[in-house]
Amino acid sequence: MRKVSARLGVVAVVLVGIGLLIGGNYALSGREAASGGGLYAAVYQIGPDGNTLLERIPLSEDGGHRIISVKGPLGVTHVEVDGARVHVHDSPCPDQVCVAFGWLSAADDFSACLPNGVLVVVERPDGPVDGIVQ
Amino acid sequence: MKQITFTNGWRRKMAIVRRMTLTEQLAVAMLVAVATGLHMIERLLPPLPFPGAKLGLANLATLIALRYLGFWPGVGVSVVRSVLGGLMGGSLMGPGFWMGFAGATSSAVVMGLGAKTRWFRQSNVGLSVAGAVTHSTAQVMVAVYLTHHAGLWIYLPVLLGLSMLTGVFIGIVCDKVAAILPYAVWFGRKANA
Repeated sequence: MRKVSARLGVVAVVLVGIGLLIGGNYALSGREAASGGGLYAAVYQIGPDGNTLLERIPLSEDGGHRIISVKGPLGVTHVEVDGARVHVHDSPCPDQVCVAFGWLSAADDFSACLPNGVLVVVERPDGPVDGIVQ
Repeated sequence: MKQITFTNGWRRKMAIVRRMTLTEQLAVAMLVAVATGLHMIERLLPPLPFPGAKLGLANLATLIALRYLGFWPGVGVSVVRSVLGGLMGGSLMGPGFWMGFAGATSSAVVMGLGAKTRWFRQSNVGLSVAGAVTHSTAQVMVAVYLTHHAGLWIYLPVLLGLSMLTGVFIGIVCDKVAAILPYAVWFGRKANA
């Protein structure tokens, strides 16, 4: 009986985990359709006491192609804006987590390169305050 | 071999850290080595499809230490492992190191407290899941603190779900390892004799 209940617990944890994984992914990608347009790609430099906004570029389908170079402590990080999407193209950091985040196009999407101090956020037009804080 | 002790009587009983036998000290040292090795091996494995997520192999050694040696040896293995891993990986004192350090330490403390209760006696899976969930939460917390951007919290549900799955996996592996541990000890004695 006790063994059965322990196994049930493991199955429950696995199911909750898969649910969170799929639900979280769905919530992250579902916002893409909801947010029509008028979004901005904001590129921040992470400082010890706060972030400084370097560039704020409107994202639109007919927007051009742009590469922003950010100089950090390790070297230069290239952020690529392509129409309505933005990503970290390359970065001198060891883990390449920022590159692994891939293309960002939905509001509140982010990609952060902590070693090189670069933060890319897709923001709503109403300002840099994000929806979670409000 | 007789262990030389510098404290005895009530001072020994009141000590927060129990004086370990030589065997236990050796076991801690070996577990630190195993944990650092797993930490480095994990860097060579192909990354999971979710950025910033890892399997948490090094947690195996922490779990074994917590289970068989006690609270402080387990936490110590975890702390020393992340410092050594940072030293070898070249990320010591960097932001990635602090995220891993905070996650490893807090998850070791949570798993150690859990191991003191009677709910996790039966297997290591529950402990491992608790540790994995704590690890990812602490990691996101440190990332939010470092980037000054609260929007990073939206990534937490995905990480929590993934850490539950990896936690179950690591817990099952830990149970299997714990099952063959007595044979390994017996084999080692046989080889030394």
